Amino acid sequence: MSANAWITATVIVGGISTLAVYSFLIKENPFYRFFEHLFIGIAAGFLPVLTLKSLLWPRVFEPMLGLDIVQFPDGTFSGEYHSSILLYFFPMTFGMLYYCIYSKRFGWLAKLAIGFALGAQGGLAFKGFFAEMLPQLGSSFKPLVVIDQGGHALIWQSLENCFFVFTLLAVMYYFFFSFKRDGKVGEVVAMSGRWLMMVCFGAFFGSTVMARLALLVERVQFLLIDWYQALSNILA
Amino acid sequence: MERSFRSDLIRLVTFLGGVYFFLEFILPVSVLESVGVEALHEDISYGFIVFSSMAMGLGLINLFLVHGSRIIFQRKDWMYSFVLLIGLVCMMSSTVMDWRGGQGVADKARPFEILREFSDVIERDSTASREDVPPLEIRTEALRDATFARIAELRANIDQKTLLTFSDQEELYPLGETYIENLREILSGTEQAARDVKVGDFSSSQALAASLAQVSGFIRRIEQLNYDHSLTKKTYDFLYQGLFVSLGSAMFSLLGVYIAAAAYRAFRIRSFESSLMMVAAVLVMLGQIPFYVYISEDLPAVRQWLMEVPNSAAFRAIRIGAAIAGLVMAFRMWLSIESDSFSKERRG
Repeated sequence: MSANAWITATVIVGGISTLAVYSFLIKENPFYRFFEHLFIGIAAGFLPVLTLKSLLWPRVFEPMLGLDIVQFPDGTFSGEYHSSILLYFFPMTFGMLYYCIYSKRFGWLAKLAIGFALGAQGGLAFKGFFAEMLPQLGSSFKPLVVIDQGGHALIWQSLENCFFVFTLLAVMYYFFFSFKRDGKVGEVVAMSGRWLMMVCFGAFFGSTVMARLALLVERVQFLLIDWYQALSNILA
Repeated sequence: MERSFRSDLIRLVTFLGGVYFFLEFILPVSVLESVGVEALHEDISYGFIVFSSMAMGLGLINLFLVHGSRIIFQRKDWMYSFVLLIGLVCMMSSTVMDWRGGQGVADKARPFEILREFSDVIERDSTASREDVPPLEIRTEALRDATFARIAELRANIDQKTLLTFSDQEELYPLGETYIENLREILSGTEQAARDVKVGDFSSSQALAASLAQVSGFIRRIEQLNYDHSLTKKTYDFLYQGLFVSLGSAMFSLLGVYIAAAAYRAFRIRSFESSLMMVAAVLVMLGQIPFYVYISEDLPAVRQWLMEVPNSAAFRAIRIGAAIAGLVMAFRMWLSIESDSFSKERRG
């Protein structure tokens, strides 16, 4: 098969699979389910090899086997073999405990591995919270009066900052359920927080729809231009 | 007694799993440096990644168990399970073969890259006055001899191997021939550069290194061209571009249609809140399309303001609240308070 025939076959199959997925809009059908299962199978087959190829092999297995060290023509080597790399056997062996889940007798050992993973996630979440959220929290409290280098107040920017800080506080206040809200002011602030949150959700909704529609446009363009062209070539 | 020991052990291991990142964050860098953890941090983090990646096979085993049993016992919809497993096996083997093919391309150029690296190492070691390596004269001579040997080997193989492979694909023949002609010229230049290398004259060895880099780059280009037209690469592209990418994009864009349908239900103006939501969504959408000029020139600026001020502030507030809740959950998990039922043995 020539290179062009392969490209045509790839485009034709791409178009058929796209139409199969869109056939779900009418109703669920065997054509859709066939490609749905094929997609799951392909995705499940692709990702483990990708992890092995881009992470485990170059970072762990290659140095472990000493394959990253080359011999130069004068007999010297490009680097030394660090036996400390063999310490990776410990996490690997410990990670193998996951597979005890299939044994009735040793199933509890899998809980050690799962527990360790959960604990590590907990530790990382602690680190992640302070490393990510604290700078955001700090930068959220913007100056309420912005003054330029000439000493003049920038009205629009100041109003914008006031509105930003008010939105932040109002939305946070809306989520405080730890104590009962008394008073008119509290109610008004909470209500404003609710409204501003609706604006946020609307804006999110709008940008999500646009992102998905961009994909839809790309697929429709593919069908109308590339796929149609390939199909016409075959029929001609 | 034994059961209690097991659950205590699981709690302990769960705690130990989180201790490293917790301490690594709260302890000052000076303390971490003094105990040598700072230098090893990257390796330790990779250890955690290696540990987690070991769970990768669980998903595959489960897929084979669930769908394999459905096929064997011909349960309902077993044909779809068959398609799933066929897709999995085909993609897996094709990706592995593509990986090997890519490595094969790199391996072909590797001997010249090693020589280039060797040229750099000679200069570096000589500048650092290393004494545990052979003398400079011997190393320079070895570099020169190895370069001549590699060039001779490549010249002998160009016609026998590379051109022969190209001749299988007629459309590539003219391009391949041009590439090989260019490679021959570069090889002559490299040979001359190797002859000009003088002991202790690092500018001449740098010229040779540049020439060797050019050779390895050219070999890569030729081999890549060859590989791009191989059956392995075509099969991989067919599965990846034709199925994986197409199906992925179609699935996600399908959600766009459903979101639009959901919008009808969500945006029916029943209350002030839903009106606010609808107005914000419509403004954001209108500000992103090219036809906004027919409505108002200011729409993109309005969209940007909506995204940067109210949306950013409200979303940040939600994220802060969620992060605090996540932190509490993480602590409960780490200290095995949340996962009590998980660490206890099941009864009965």
